[in-house]
Amino acid sequence: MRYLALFRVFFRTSIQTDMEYRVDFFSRIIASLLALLTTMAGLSIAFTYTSSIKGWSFPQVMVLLSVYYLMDGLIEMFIAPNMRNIMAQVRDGTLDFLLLKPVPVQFLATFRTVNIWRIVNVLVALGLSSYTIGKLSLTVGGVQALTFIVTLAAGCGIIYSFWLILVTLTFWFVRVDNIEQIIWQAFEAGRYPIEIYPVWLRNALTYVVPVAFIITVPAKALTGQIGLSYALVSVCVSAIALLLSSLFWRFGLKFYTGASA
Amino acid sequence: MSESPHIVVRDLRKVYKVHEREAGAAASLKSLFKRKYKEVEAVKGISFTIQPGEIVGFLGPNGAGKTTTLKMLSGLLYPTSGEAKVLGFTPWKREPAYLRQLSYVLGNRSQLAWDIPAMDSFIVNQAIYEIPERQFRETLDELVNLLDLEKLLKKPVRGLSLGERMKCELAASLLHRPNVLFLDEPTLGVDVTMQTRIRQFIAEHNQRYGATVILTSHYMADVTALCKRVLVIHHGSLLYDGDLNQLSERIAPFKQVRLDLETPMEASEFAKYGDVVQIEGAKVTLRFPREQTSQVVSRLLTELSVVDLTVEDPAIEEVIDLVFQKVQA
Amino acid sequence: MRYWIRVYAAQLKLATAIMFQYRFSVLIWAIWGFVGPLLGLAIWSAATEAKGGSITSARGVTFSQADFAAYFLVFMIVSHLTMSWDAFEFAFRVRDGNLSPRLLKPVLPIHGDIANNFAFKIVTSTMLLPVWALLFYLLKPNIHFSIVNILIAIPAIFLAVLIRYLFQYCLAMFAFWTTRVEAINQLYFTVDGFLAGRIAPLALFPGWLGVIAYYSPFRSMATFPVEIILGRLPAEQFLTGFLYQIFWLGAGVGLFKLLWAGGMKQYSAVGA
Repeated sequence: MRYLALFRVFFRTSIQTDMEYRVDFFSRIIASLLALLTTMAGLSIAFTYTSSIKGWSFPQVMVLLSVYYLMDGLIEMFIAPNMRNIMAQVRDGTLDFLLLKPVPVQFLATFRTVNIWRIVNVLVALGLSSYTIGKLSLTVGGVQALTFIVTLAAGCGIIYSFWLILVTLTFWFVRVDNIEQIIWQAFEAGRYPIEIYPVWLRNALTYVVPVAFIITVPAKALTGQIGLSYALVSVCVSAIALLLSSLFWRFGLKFYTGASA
Repeated sequence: MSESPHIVVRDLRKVYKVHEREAGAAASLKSLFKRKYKEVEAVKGISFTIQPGEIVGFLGPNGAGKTTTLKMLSGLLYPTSGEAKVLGFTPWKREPAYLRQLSYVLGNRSQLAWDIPAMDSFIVNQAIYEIPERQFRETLDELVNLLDLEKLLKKPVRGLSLGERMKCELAASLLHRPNVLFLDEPTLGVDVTMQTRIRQFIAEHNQRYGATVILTSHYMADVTALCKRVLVIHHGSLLYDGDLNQLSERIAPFKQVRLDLETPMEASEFAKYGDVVQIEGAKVTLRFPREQTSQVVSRLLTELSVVDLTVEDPAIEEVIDLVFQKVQA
Repeated sequence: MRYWIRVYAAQLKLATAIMFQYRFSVLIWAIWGFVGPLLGLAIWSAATEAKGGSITSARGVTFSQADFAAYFLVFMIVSHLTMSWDAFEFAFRVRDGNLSPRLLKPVLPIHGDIANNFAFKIVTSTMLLPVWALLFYLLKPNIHFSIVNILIAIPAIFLAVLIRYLFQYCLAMFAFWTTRVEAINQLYFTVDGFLAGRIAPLALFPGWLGVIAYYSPFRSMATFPVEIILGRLPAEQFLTGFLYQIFWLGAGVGLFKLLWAGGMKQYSAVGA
């Protein structure tokens, strides 16, 4: 597998550059832990005043939060750093160099770097979810675990496609690097149960920015609130998203001209 | 000269501490906790003096210490030891009064705001350097004429070509009529016509305002066109300080002879006369020590069938190359 | 003094021109400030609804849904006016050497940056004004503006802007010692957001957490003016609030001077 080999090289060099910046390395771990902690603290303050919010108990919200955190970690680890690179490269015209490499541009551009320190997010998220599941005294059966993994993988595909589409827009509007902000703003909403939002926002978070598919569905799968049939829907949505975004990327590439041209 | 020198440098030294690490994942993990440092002496105690209004060329290969020296003289770097006075100021104290009289054009850095026309950045400079409105207009008009900026000033900087940007960069640096001007690779990546243009401009500006200029460039043409005096720096030491024309006599005392022969010959057959610089069919260029000139020429004329023969000084680029090769060896 | 006015005016004009070039991205960046408070509002409204319409803290502070709406809206606006993000820019500049041309100017770079920050706020606040008005209309906050309180809040906001800016800038200067400061900055933002009351009003914080938040510099950077505008702070506490602000401002200036001097030494030792 040539791609796998390439990916391994990318992975290794990015770990090395990350280690180069040691203060950064440690403080990032602390920073992301603290982000989780403050959200937990905020939620627990709210739950000191009530025992359930829109049908979600505190442990259930914690499971949701851990899935949010897991996704956040995966995005920051694999997707975001690459997409950021692309936006920067479009802006200063260095994407041209990528176009000259004998590897499909989409692969090269979107799997270039890995932000390894974010693995801490992933581990903490997994720890938190197992702890709260224990507290919920839920038994996670095989089907449930399978549903969770499938919906999570589908969610990864969806969020990847979503980023790719937005990044492709930079071919037309140079320096919309702040486009990333839009994604994160929408994504932020996923840390709470989407039931707390007004109907229009709930719909937007399901169909426009598919936060529901990325976070709420896997979280509900883990807490046993939905069954395997949902996973099928998620997989279909994910496949369509991947296909469309890839087509859009290729279309956009044709329009691309370096900023210096 | 009755005026005191603009730049006086004495035993200026700069040592960098560089973080060292081997390649590989294990090494990088190790360096996370424990770091090895290596000391690199970028400038090894150099001294020189520059008079007001001089244009001095700074020559040396990459990493010779040119930029480090200029950065110390502009106050961006603190020296490890040694002294320098520019216009009577110690550069690294970074006094506003000094900075007001200085400009440092870094070929690969920009002081212009990238996203908007250069004119807007000029206006900010006007305020920062307290340039009176009349003087600002005058200088600007002059710069617009000399550098042909008319159309460039209204375009966002990001839309300019490298050469066009450099012209704007120069203009921005000269608006406040600095008394001391450092030009670090001002023509890097600029096409040949533009290079000539920029050169002419620098010469004219120097004549008009008498600013002291230090220039570094990869293009010898920049230096030969502008500088009477050069400083040659290599591995952080000053190799030569003096007239550009005497450079070859002093540190590379060679002559060249261009031969036109009746029949082509093998390169190896010339070894007894001197070093072969170039050979192309029956046309050969040879180099030999200056003092052997008459002896070699007479031997060539008697031993070979020569159609034409010209004795000349080697090109300045080659002299420089020779110097650096010699030092390396 | 006239010199500084001229320098600031020129920098402000330049920065505004740049902002207008990128009004779209600038606006997106500004909208970032909406998300936190609105999420806070959503979760607290839902919690209030579950409790039958109002929440009362152990200290007897009561919030209805409309009170939460008022709190988070005012918080949103004050946060926008006081926000600062310079660490990112500054770190970039140190890393790619673009700080150097700025250091060659006879004016400290921070002045240009402050002007830039003001320009951002002028441009974005104008653009956001209708959005804020719309949110006030839609969310029906329980708020009664009193002219006196708003007049008192103005200097408080101004001080808050300066304090937040200085602390951010000090943080940015870590870039002199460590090549990437994004993480430290992120850490700071998280603490700032939480202790300033982005997730929950400080009045609802339980015991010791409330005490920490009360004495933290972040209260001086946003919460204090918010409390004045909402009329939730008794008048006799205004003076102490301002004293805290002046204290933190002094601390910020001192810290800045210290870090800048050290940073310049570091920058000019390692190479620009």
